[in-house]
Amino acid sequence: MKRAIIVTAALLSQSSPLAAHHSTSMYAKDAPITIEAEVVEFRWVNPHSHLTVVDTRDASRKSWSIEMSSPGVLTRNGWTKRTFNPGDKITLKFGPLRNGDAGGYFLEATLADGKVMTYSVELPAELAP
Amino acid sequence: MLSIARLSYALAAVVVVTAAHAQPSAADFSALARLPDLSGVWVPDVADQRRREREEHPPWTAAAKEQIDFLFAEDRAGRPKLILDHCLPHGMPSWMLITHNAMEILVTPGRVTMLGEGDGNRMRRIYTDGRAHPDDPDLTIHGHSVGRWEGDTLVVDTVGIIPQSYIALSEAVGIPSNGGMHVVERIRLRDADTLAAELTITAPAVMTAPWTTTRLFVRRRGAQFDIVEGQCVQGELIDGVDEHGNAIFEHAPLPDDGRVPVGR
Repeated sequence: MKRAIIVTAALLSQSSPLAAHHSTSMYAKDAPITIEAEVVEFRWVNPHSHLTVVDTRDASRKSWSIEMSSPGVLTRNGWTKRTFNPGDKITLKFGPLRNGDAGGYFLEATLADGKVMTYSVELPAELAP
Repeated sequence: MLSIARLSYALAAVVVVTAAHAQPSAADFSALARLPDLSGVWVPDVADQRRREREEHPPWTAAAKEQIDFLFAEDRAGRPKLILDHCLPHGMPSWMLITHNAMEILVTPGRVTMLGEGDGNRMRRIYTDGRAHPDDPDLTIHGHSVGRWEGDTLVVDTVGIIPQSYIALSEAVGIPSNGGMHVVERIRLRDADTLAAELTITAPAVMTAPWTTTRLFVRRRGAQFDIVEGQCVQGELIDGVDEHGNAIFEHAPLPDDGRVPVGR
């Protein structure tokens, strides 16, 4: 029970990137970081999928937790649960948390084969009414 | 030609309104063919949502406007208030106002059902069998909805919404209705693949007058657009194995466990 309460408290923290459906203004998407990264884990879950990577050019192999939209939105943008796999080497661009924690919001990834992954919750111009 | 279409919708409306709770007849199922086709997957027009967030100003009370202005400022400053920071459904009317996820609309005799994506139980039951609202409805996140067809427009009347349900302008700006909210929607096909939902929201605790606004949804078909199961609470959990080797869920590690929790 105590653990459940602690989890709840963590989830309700307003500065936390954990919460369900939320604004992303806590991420500095206007000041993005680009790193060479190795995928540790890709969680294809609601309400936000999640990518854990390490910065391969950082001496300490700094770990970053990168958030993105839901599997539904990502599927509509051509993603699948296998878009990222552990061990994949990618170039990753993201908006870092403004509070300095090692988290960010996904902006773009270039896969080893050169394919660029991105997405939008807005309809492409050619599909908009 | 249009008038013939409207006439057939009107006839369908008459046939489809069967007695409340009655078993539907074969004629009731046949009558569905004369209603507008709402099949497929409806994707919200998020760009339009965002434009309205900037340009449309509900008639807030002075006290509510003060809170809303503060929330807009906080969001601009990179300190968003996470008004939907739980895994409950967005609820009414926020689902219709700000969702980023798609929905399906099932039309069956005496019933229209909206099936959403994103929180485990995002679903609206709209009764079109002629029943009235209960005199004293249990308050729920989506409220109690009754509908009727006016020509090719589905008119939905919703009451019985919990006071905690937000009137959200975005995922960082909104205010709970604080009770007594009434929502009337006029839902129709604006063109072949665009659904327009005009909402008129009456919320006397936070607004000085009814607020009317429209949200658009675009129809898509094809596997890429199918609804994806969205169990929000799953994101709070990680895959684990118990002492018997069973696959189970476990709570995600906490920040003080030395790593950033994943999955939310």
